Amino acid sequence: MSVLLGLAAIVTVAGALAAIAGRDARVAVVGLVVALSAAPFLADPLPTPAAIATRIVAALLAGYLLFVVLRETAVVTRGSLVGLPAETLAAAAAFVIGYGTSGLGSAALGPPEASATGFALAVIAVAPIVRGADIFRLGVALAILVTGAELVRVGLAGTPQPLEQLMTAALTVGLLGTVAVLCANVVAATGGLTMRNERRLSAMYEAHPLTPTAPSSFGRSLRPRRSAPVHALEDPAGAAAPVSGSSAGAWRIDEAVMRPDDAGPAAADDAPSATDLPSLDDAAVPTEPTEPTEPTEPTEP
Amino acid sequence: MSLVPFLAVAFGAAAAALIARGYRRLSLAIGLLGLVAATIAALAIVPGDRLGVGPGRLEATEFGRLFLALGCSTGLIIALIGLATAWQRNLPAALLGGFGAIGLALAIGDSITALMAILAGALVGSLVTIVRPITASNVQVASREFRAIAVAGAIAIVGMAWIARPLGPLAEEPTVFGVAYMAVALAAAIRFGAIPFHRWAARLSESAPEIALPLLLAWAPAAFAVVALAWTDRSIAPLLLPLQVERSVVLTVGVLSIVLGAVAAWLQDDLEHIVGYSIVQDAGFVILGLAILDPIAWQPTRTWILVFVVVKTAFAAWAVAVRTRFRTGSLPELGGWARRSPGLGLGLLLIVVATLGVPGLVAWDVRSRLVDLSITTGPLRLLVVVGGLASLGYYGRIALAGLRPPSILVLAGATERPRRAAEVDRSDVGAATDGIAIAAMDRGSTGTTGLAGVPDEISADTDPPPRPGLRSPRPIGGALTRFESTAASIWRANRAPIASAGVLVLALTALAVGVGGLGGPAAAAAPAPEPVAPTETFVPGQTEPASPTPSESRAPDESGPPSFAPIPTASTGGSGTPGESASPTEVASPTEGTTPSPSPTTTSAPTPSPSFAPTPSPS
Repeated sequence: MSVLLGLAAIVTVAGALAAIAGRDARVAVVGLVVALSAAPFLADPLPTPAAIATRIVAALLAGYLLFVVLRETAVVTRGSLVGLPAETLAAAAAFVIGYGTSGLGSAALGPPEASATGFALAVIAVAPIVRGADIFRLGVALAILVTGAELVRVGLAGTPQPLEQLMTAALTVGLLGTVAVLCANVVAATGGLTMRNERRLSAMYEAHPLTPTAPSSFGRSLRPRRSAPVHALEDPAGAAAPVSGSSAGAWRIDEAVMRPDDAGPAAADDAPSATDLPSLDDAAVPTEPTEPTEPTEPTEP
Repeated sequence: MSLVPFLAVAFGAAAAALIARGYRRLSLAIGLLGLVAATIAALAIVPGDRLGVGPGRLEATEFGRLFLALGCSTGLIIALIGLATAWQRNLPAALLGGFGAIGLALAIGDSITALMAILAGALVGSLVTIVRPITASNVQVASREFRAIAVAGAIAIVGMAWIARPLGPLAEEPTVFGVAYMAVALAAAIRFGAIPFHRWAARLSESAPEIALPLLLAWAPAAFAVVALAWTDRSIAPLLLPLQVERSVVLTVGVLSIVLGAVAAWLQDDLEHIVGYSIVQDAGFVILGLAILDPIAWQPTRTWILVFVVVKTAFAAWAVAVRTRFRTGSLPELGGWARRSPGLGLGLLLIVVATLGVPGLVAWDVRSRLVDLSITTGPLRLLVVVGGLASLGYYGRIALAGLRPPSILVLAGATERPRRAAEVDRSDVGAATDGIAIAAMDRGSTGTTGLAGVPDEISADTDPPPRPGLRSPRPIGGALTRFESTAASIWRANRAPIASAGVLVLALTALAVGVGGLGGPAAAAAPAPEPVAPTETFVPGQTEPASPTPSESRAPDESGPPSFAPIPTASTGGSGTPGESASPTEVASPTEGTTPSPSPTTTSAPTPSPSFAPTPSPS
């Protein structure tokens, strides 16, 4: 293993790990750009300087597209689901396997470090792709997966020609440009990067305790409610009325319901559909169907 | 190089339209003019022209020329229909960028490089996937398409790369080629949304604007399939390997798509779902073409791809026109649509004829040929034949709905009769003249955009065209302003007939391709561009290039000339090991190899050598 190839492999994998495991999206972007910039050095012989420069410029441009979307926000990604140490160990194991099986049964035309790094990137990318509720993490993982496939290709078939390097650069820009477009839209729709219409419940609890009269951080008043059914939307009088489809406007939050009574016109469009209601991984308490509350009868004077 | 003007126009206009996105009318003008110019530039491509790009090169082909000309011209008509019905302001830019990338890919001989260009172009489709109101669900659907593109691309890249090198002892293993072939074929199936990989395509059909469905579900995946077919034809098919298991898997996907796609389309009530599943169904025949693994499938498969993309474009345009005119895409509510819109009825008839054809027409013949080549006998063949004709079920269901008495929404829809601009205001008052209270009620909250009964959230999906009457006069010139206002009024008054006319033009184009016109079969039979240094072909008398490392250069290079002979399983010398060179006398001569036995396991083939493996690309 030459020093340059080993260094490039380590930098690429480390950048990919930072991109996948970082909770701050901007840190993840930096890691991704580092990984994409180091990837063209994983070839023997090295590509032409123009090809390397093209790949690096493409990585920087693509990263800048993402940065433009994320710089105005303080969005936090979910980070790694299994933690950075586990991701690192999995990547290391995949690296060793890729290095040991370089060529996959016959002599390879490229360096084994490229195959090893490609295996490691593929393993890193699998979890967010399989279970990607966060559009940023999903997009970053897909970019890492494609980069890993390209590295496996370099390891098997040798250094790509300049035209292929150019197409790879264009593909990099296209991938991260698409991620940027999707991120911009999901931030506009939900205020975060998760592809669900509801906010993170934990953040709401931390920011504002739920009280009957306290306005939430999203401009909606929150009122405790006993056993609110998921499919029920409260009417102003307090009686529960069943609704269906995307017209549902209630978020079930444990024992409280965030009522969209003072939501703006956009709230109707962004209201969660029946399939968009909080899932078990986000809801602190599993939902259980209960009967709708009955209106209290007025007491006689 | 005649391809350069096309690429310059396509990419330049796409970039300009996106940059000018804030100026709607300017962006629109750039996009439409760009599509016109791109169509002309595509027609001006000279097949056989070559342009060197470093060690590689671009080579124009007849198939690429026809594919791009059809794509840009039908894209222009789609954009005009969208302008009259359900506009998506990024559509022209996405079409231009997508077809620019496709044009580049179809001119590249190296399959992996072409694949990357296809993937980059397909990602442009994300611009038209998301519509207002933007919700997390919309973004999730777009992310599914993104995921399908990236995953399919990654699988195909690795599959192609695996055998793009001297394989040494692996060349004796048909499984190696089988796995690579299956990876590429299934990647194409994922890209098409073929069953059972159809979930993302189904969600996309109900979320993305219908006007963008041809680009997202037909044109871009079809280009992917063209590249995959070229790779298969060059790398796998000449080997005549016994890949029954791998072929069966791919064949199963194709058959499932054809049969279940027709069933799903027949069961659906919404037009967008019917369009989506019909695309999935017809894509099944492309998968069948990939499953044949014989060079004889080259021409019918590519001919069907040409028919497929144009027909599905026409069908999607028809669905958009119907949906926006009658304010509904639900089939039960579309009773009598054909009575109110004979132009659209004729368009649907032409689309059906172009899709199925009749014996003697190209559309029918290539479908039959693909079925004959892929499945020779047995009940499965009957199932595929019936499944292919089952599209008559959902087409017939649509037609029967059109012959029923008109529903209330259909009565409220605009007619196809051309109108003068002065009639616009009267029609804007709406279907109240017809006594349709529902339409008037809905219109009261959202306003109309010209088609009676078409609310803004449908007709102007993202950007409702500005109302000419409300536009303030500009000081540029009175005559120009009046002309512009008059033209806009006439356009607005005649959106329904304009949309019908566009659908008819598309249907006639589809019929022309379906009957074998426009040079489709000849273009489909033309060879794909050759790589500069063949990476995956077996050319008689051509030796492999040297390996980059001296230690590896002995095995493939000193093992004698390459052979066409199939890979034998009965190795006598075991000379396939890297580092061991086979004697030239033990290798079949190219003359012997040109008539390979269809049964490699039983033939007395010569001693295998590493030269059976595809030659690597020079590094």
